[in-house]
Order: sequence, then structure tokens, then C-alpha cells
Amino acid sequence: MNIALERLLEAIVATLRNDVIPHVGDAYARGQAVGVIDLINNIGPRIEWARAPLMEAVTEKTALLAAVAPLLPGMEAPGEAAAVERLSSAELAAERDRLDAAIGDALALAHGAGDEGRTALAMIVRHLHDEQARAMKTTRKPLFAEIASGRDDKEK
Amino acid sequence: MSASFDPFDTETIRTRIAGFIAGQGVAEVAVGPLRRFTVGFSWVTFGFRASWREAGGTVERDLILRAGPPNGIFGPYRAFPEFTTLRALAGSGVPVPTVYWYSDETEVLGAPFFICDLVPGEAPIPWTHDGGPAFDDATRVALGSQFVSALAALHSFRWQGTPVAAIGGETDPTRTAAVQVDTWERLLGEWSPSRVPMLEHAAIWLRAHAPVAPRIAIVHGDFRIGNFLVDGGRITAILDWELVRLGDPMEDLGWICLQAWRGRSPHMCHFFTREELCERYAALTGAPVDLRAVRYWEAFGTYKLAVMHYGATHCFEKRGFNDLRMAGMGAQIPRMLLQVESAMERAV
Repeated sequence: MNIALERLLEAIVATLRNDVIPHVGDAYARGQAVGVIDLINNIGPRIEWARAPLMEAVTEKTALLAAVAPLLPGMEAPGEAAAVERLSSAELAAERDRLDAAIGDALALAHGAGDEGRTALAMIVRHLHDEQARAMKTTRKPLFAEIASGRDDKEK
Repeated sequence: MSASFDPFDTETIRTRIAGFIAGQGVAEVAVGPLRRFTVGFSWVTFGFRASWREAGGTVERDLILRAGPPNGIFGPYRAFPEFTTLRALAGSGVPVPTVYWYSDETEVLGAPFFICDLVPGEAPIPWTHDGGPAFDDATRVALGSQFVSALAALHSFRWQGTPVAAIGGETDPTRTAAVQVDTWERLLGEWSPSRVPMLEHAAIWLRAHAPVAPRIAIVHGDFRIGNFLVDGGRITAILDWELVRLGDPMEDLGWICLQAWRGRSPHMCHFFTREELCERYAALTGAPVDLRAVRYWEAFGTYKLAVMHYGATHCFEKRGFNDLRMAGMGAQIPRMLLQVESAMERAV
């Protein structure tokens, strides 16, 4: 999830305010929806995206680049690893993005190289797969059927 | 002067559309209240009733207004390709709504738009509550037959020498795939603030394995369950032509095969196995289908759908499109990237 938390919460509040609450007939239910807005407004300033997965991503990408650099002549040295413990979530996300750009460059080199390039490519592809597989552990099944039909999952 | 498009201000839209229709060579135009349909992630759709006098008689119709909002996922939009294709396909074997007027100017609504007939029917969707089949067997067979017949008719349509020749796309059979990869890679660059190595890997792979198109046809670009209407057991209209262009017809076959359109069903778009789909299509068009090319286009389609997820995220985060479904698509990007990887593996 790469969307800025601030924007996400702002849109949730706007959706409740403009698209949901005006159409809720029951006064108690309407009040509860306003209660959700009230909570979001107070939670917002106190939270940030979880740091642990971002730290893990930065650590793994740094290690990957260090491992493939000797296999890819012409690849820029990955540089010193960031001190992840001292970085905020936003700084970690920026570092992850910087490393992803370096991985993209390494990919392009690996595709055009020989045997060592193929080894590097396999390592990079493995990393990309593992990263998304890890992200899937926190990705819930989409509720598209319920969103499209406007009905609860248990209804038919 | 350019107008600004506000999809919530239906009264202003109604007034402007009435004025626009009156300028199309008809008289005594009356446009009823607009109601907005919540379908679709991209164009904004309104229904309304209108009447006008034409050739000495009064015409009264239930109509659809489709407008491409400036902040929509694929904006800036053009109505010309969709309108021109729908007009050309009228009376063909492809069920389409009758189209009336269009404009790509921003003076009228602040957004390109076209007007067509309201076609009766419901749109079956690919997502089911339990992830299982969308149809019972009898419905699957009946609708599946119509679905592939419509596609075969579209791809058999002789577009050469018709206005469709001007809708855009790529007519060099050796370039159709590369141009599509270039297009969606450029869009990814516009929509994603950071680089996406998995999709960079996919783009390199797609360029290296690009097939030559067996012929050039009208490509719908989003031909799947969810984009047609069914009424009384019949497909009454194929919808959502916003990605239409000239290109490799195998692209539409590959798109039908995406994992995203079938859930856990073994049937592509809940209709056929991959082999059945290709066999039926080949029988209807008289043109053999290269399964490897279909697998390639399935991998490309999965890449394209992944890029669309970045588009939805960008639309939500940067363009003020306040639809939470867009943010929801952003949350599914890991699933999409893994599907891109597995589609490439299947296509090797």
C-alpha cells in the first residue's frame, strides 16, 4: 500500500461525509458513522505506516544489490547500507524506492548479460517474488463482489 | 471557452446536454432529469429520457450519456474512437447500443462525451461471493456461445475503408505488441512515483517474446465478463469500448484468459477452458489460433491490468478522484504483481 496515509484517511472521511451519511436513514447509525469520522480525525495524527515491513524491505534490497553487483560489470556500487533503525516510515519508504530504482537498473543489465547475468537475474526475480509473497500476507481478499452488488457476503 | 465538469451537478449537465442536442439539427428538444449510474471506474455514466422532433416526427428515447472526466483513470479521454466504432458496428454481429452524438470538445461539459441508447440488461461481474462459478452450466454454455460469437464478429469486421480506420492503434503486424508494451510502460511511468522492478522485468520479457499479429482487427481492449449486458438470456450489448483501437485480435483472446476475470473458476471469464475458447473462436473466424500467442497476450494483459492498478492509485492519490474502490485497487497490487509473474511463467 503506497498511498499516503493522510490522503487515505481524508478520502475515507469525505466518503462517509458525502456519500454515506446523507443516505443513512437511522439516526443512531448516522451518529455512529460520524463517530467513525471523529475517531479517524484523532487517530490520523498519531499513526504512520508500519516500520517493520519497510525496514525488512530496505535490508533485503540492500543485501540483494550487494550480492548481484559483482555479477554485473558496469553496475554502480550499491553504497553504504542505510541505518534503518534510525529512519522514519517516510524515510524508509523513500530509501526502498531508491533501492528499487537501483534494482531496476540491475535488471536491465542482467537481461543483457551472459551466464553471470542469468545468475543475477534469477536472484533478482526471486527477491521480487518473495517481496510480493510477503506483502500478500497482509493483503486481504478484495471485496469486489460485495462492493459491486452492495450486498453482504452472506446474502445471496 | 472550456467548461468545468462536475459529475455531481446533474442539473447543469442536463441543461448543457439539451443545448448540445438542439445544435445537432433536431428541434423541440426536451431532456429529463439525469440519474448517475455507479458502474465503472473510468467514464461517468448518466441515464435520462429525451425527446426531439426530427424529419417531421417526434422521437422519444431512454438515453445514456457517457463522459470521460479529466481526472479519470485514463484521462484525458477521447470519445471519437468509441463513438466511431459503435456507429460502424451497428447492424453487425456485435451487439452494440445505437449511438447518436459525441463531442471531444470541452466547451459543452468540460469533458469528452457521447450519447447512445439505453440498452436493457444486467452486467454479470467476474467476482462472486464465494469465488466460485458466476453461472450455472446451462447459462454458461448459452451466454458463452454469444460472448465468443460477438468477439469473432468484431474481429471479422472489415474496418478497412470505414471511419474505423481513423480510430488509431498499430497496423504493422510486427509492431502491435511492442507498441502496446511501450504505451503501458509510459503510463506506468506517469502513474507510479517510484519504479516497479517486477513490471520492468515483465516489459523486457514482453518485448523479447512479442509475437507477430496474424492480422489487424478492431481490438476492444477490455472484452470480458463485466463489460456486457444480459437480458432474458441474451447478450444485449458489449460495453466499455474506451480502449478500442486497431491491433492484434489475439490481444482480446488473451485478455479474456486473465486470472482476474475468473476467480477460482476453471473457465475463462466463467465461460470456457482456454482451449475451448480458442477452438470456438477459430471455428467462427475461420482463422487458426496460436495458443502460444494467446498465452503471450494473457501475460501482457496481466501486465496491463497491473499498470491499471497503479493508474487507479494515482487517480485516487494525486488527481482527487475520491472513489475508495481506486484505493482498494492499490491495496491489491502485490496480488497483481504475482499474477504477472505466473502469467509470464505459463507463457514461456
